[in-house]
Amino acid sequence: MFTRIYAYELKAKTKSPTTYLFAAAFFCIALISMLGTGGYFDAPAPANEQEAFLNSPYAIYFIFQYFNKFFLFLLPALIGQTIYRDFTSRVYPILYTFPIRKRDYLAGKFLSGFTYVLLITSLVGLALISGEWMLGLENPKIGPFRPGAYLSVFATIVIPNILAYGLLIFAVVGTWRNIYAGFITVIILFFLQLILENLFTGQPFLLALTDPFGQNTIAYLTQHWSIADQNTLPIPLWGVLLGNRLLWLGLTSLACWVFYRRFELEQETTSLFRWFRKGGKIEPAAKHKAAQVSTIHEVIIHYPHSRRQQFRTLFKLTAVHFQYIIKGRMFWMLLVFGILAVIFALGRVTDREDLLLLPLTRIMLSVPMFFFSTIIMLITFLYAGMLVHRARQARMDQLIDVSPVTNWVLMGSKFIALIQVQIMLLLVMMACGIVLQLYHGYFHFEVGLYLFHLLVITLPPLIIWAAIALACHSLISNLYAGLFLLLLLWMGRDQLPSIGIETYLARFNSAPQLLYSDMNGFGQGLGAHYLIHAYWLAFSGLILVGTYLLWQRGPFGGLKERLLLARKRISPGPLFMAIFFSAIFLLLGFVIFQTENQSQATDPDLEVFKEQYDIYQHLAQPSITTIELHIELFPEQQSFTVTGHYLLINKSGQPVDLLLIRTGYDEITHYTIPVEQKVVSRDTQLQFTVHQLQQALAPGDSLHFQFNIRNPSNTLFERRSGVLQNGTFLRTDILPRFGYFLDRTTLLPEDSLAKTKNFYADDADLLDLKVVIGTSREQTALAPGDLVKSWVAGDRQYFQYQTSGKIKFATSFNSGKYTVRKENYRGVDLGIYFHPTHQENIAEMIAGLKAALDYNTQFFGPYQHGEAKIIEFPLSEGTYATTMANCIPVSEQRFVVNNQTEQNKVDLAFYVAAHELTHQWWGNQLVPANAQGATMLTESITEYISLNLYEQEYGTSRAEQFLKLQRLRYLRGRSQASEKEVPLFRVNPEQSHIAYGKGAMAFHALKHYLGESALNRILSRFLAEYKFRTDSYPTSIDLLQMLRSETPPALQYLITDYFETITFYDNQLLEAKLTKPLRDSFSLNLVFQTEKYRQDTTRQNLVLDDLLEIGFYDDNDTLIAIKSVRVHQRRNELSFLVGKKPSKIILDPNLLLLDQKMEDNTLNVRQ
Amino acid sequence: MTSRLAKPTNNLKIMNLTIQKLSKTYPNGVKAIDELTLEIKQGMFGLLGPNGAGKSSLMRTIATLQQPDSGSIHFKGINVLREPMELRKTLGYLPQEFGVYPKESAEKLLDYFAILKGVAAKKERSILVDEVLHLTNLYEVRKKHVSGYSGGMRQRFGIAQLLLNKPQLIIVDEPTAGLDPAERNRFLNVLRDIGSENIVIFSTHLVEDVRELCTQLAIMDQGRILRQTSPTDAIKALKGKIWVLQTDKAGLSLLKQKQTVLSSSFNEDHSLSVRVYAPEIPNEHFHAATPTLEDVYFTALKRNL
Repeated sequence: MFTRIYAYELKAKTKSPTTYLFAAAFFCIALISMLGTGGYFDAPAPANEQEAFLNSPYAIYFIFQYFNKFFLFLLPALIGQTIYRDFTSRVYPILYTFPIRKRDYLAGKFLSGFTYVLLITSLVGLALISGEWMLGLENPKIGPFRPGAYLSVFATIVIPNILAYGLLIFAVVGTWRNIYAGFITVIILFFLQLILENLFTGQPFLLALTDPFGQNTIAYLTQHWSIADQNTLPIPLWGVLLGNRLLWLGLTSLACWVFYRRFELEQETTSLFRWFRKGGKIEPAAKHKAAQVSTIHEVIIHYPHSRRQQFRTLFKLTAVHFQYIIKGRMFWMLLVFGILAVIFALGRVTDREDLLLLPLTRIMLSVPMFFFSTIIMLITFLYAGMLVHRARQARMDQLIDVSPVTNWVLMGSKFIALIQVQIMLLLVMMACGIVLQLYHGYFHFEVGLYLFHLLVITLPPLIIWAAIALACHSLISNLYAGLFLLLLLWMGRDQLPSIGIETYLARFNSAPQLLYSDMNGFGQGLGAHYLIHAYWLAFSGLILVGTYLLWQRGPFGGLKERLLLARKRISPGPLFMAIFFSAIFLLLGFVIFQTENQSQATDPDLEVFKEQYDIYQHLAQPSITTIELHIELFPEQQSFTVTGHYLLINKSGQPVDLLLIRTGYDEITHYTIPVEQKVVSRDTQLQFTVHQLQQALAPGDSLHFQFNIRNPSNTLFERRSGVLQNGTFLRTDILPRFGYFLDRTTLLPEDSLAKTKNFYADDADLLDLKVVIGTSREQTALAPGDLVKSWVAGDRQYFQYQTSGKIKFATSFNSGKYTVRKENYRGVDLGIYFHPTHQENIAEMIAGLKAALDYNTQFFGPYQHGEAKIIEFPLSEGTYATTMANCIPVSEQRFVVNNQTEQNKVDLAFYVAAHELTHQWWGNQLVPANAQGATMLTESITEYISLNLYEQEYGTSRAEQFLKLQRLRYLRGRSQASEKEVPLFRVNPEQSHIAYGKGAMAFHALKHYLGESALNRILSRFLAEYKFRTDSYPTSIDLLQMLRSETPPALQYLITDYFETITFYDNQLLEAKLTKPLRDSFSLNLVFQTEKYRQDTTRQNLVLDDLLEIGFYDDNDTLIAIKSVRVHQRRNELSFLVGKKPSKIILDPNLLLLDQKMEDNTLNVRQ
Repeated sequence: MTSRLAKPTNNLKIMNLTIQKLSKTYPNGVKAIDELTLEIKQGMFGLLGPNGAGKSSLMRTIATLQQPDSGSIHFKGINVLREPMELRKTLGYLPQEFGVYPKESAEKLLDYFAILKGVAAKKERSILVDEVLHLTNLYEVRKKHVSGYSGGMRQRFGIAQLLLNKPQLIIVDEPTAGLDPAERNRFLNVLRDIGSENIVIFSTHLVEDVRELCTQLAIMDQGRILRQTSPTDAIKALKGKIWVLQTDKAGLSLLKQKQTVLSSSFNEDHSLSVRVYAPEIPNEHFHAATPTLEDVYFTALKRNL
């Protein structure tokens, strides 16, 4: 019997067009996304050094995780539907009387659906394999074909997921006899994943074990993989992955087993939830009563079939639909899980791994909002279908269809009810946010921002989805097909850019990402947002008119009849609406088209440029020695002008007759050269001009260079100046520069040429800067240098700055409505310019500045400016902090950290201030040469000093935490970097994980062995030798030489391992046993192994003669002792005597050695 | 427009329903209505016909639920096919098979229908709903879920909902199918109460229903009206033309070759009583019989007569 049912169900599905729709859609999307990512639709891109393969096991797992979400939506449609069909077609009362065994019936149903889902998922695999083949091995993103990768992803992810959740959904649909419950189960599973992700933040193993889809399990297993690893290694199947899969398969099987036991082939729904049902039964007494004549008083009933009445009916029906949705049990389940998910998500966005952010409204609205609005969209898809199909499913449609209600009332009431539900959910989201802010003790409520974000930014796209969902469901009578088409549209629109369709005219209901800054609001992007939303709203208006015309009334009588009816319904009303919406749609489309064409300047062809101009690559140019600028900022118009003057001096030692000038890429620049010259060639796109001087500039001669700059006018989509309404942050790149600028090679540190140019600029050594900067009356403008004077002229305010010492060519110009905190400390004017509501971290920042000033002055000499200014800039300009002479521009992100930090978080405000001010010595006084390893001299040393400052301020244990993060930064950065890893002394400018992460560890280890003052003495000597030097810029090799000369021979290996090579340790504690307790001490036997290796192509183990520290801890995790041993061989067995009873042993507790796996360095002591 | 339930104030005007040359072929090729022309006057109108005769298609078409390929329908000056909304204001329709939203009480559902039918005021709606509940004798069970009603109660609920807009044209499609005799009686009584002053089109394959209820009737088969008449006229017309013969199974098949056999029924002794249509007595073995409505029905189906 089982095979009969199974075969019958399979056959039934081959007849259903939806099966083919699902199959075709999945195949095409998988193929297109593979080809699109592989660059099949674009011009071939030049290969990077190391490409991540699209078909590595890692990538295949990644792709299937993406598809997994969509596979889940197939489960109700294909597995749930097999059993649901018998209920809707009302065949079940007959069917269940047949001599069918429950086991055969359920197994046949389930397995037939499962077979189909499996087939469709296999099609995705097939599409990916086809994609691999079409892209070909010559494509840099394609590695060797590995069938094993596909097999393993199916065995561990795809099949377990569809089996586990197929069983669950089968049980749910069978229990409730309701297919919607199946869809809602899928959504709830997503919620569950989100909740677990947030519940187990910081406990990656638990998350890996419990993630319902295995997604975080794979992420956990591959977290430290480098790109080379990702390209070659298979995913480890045993261990946590297996555990995770068994856990969820077990849980859902259990649920399905309970369902199986309770399920009876009977009329009533399965009794799992019988107590919920009420009503229904009729008392026999009421049944037989003689018909009685109406005794109602004469009341006149009104049937006002007026337009006004139609509106009243519209609102009444809307209320009925709304109530129907929100009174459903399924809706409440969704709501409860949704709120839980949002609360957890809101908790997590403020809780970053290394720091805690304040629960700002904008943060509450960021990630959780994105997630929540996706859920609202899915709910819209689902309930649109339920509203449209509800009457037909209850077979009440004919009763409704003959009532004198117009189609627009029937349709409109559903549309408005959907929007009401959306608004209600958005407001729930707001309530969650506010409650959570309250819970965190944050009382700066921005209800206006909430409402604006939710109702003006988030709602319109949801309304557009509601219209489309309504149209889709009313045109397609099959609920699953309609739902799936909607999912397809949602999925497909995000794929458009990957096949080369970038225009917002075609990307359905997508708008550019908006970024909110407390300082500058949504900025310029809002206009484009409104425009695109209005465009698609007009489109959905048009769709709704079409839906109105095609609204099904009465039984479905074929397409012909439907079109005939539609033609009949065309009357002035709908016609007018159609013309109205079309006109808006076309008009806005035209505006978008124009703006896009205006703003999308074609990317400059760098290859062509190189061909023509790279002959000038090493051409000597004069240096900028003095800069005078007059800057006018217009925050209201978001524009600016600059007039300026450079004094150029030919320092090159040879005559210069060609002047290469590059002006700001986005700006319009005019300049004058006060000598006879002619233009040799010009690239207008890259704003690059070659001038031939009639008379060459002799060595030592100078030239006055005058220029003025303005920005091109702004467009709706694009602000074409760096000026913001509040929080302007202009950088050096607006100013004219000299020399060929592409392919600026960072030389090897050994190269003697490297020492002639500094790391930051080829056309300037150190220089003087004078700036007059004007801005609107209510703003403060800042530039590098110390304030000379400020004055008001009309409605504008001016500030004059001048540098007292020489600075390198790196400038910033800021303007905003700031609150200022000032303090004079050790003769330096410390100032913090911040957004009025960002008060929380100002004290910490000042503490950071003071600490850095104290420490660096003590060890490395005086500070070179009269002022030090921290200036806040908006999120839209970045999340970083930097140093421009004595200005320290810091992103607002770093002003909103929660300084009620816990033990394991970094106090970012203190750290940022301390770090950036330390750069005044290490980066500004010591200016490194233009060579690899430059950031070792600036960032590594600065991070080391910051760590010392942090330890002074917050104690050893939090400093340790800080160091742990540096270690993680290095290991993670390594796994994500596409460049080949280099040793620290050769670190490239972009490899911040090496300069910061590894650099901090390296100097920390040196400090540990040499002592802080000894190391600082060496650094101080180094600084003294190179301070403000421009004739011979220092390299990392210069420092290493000095370090080597001061390091005892027994520790020289540290410099080799940390700075000159990429060396790792692999320490492992194998056994820790208490041997015999003595009277007042404990004897302990330890077995551990140590390996030191370098990895080029293969792992090479090195000879050991290294120090290793062993930490002994008691029951309360308090340190008893640290013992240092010198290790010579791999396996070591040693005995120790300690004063207190140890219970835990840690190898290398101070993180002095680079060990990729620290988990196996710890053991509890065996008694 | 104001009126009291089931008693249109303005009934002097003749409210005929006129159907002309109506045709409908389904996409699968079935010709459901074939050049059908029909005029229906005020009162109970029975539409008789075998299963598949096109009764439901015709009723659905009149009820604006379906578009014919050609032809026209007029009611009280309304061109039904052009202005379906005008007809719907005055239409009451009970389809052959219908369901309701699960877990909703009769009272709530009727209130919902009253909104759909355009009753604005909440108070009026509640009076109206009470009234139709009393009329259909469902008042006692108004708080119960309709999805749990018995067949007869459900049919009465169907009548209750169609009364809400005080319709002048009522269409009920096979309403008595599956009802027990008591329920059927109760149902027909309700229908009779509302039928006298409106047009009630009532389709059935039970001749019995029509005899008890209708002032006019039409017999339909294969999409066409075979005969339109009134029950008394029809019976009168057959007077002296119906004959009965006692025979057995073999005799029946023999008889079918020679005579127009209308129906046959078994007697207690397993002999057969066969009713035959003939202008004159076929032979002396036959007895004259009083014509019944059933005879009318079967004669009509024998189209050559």
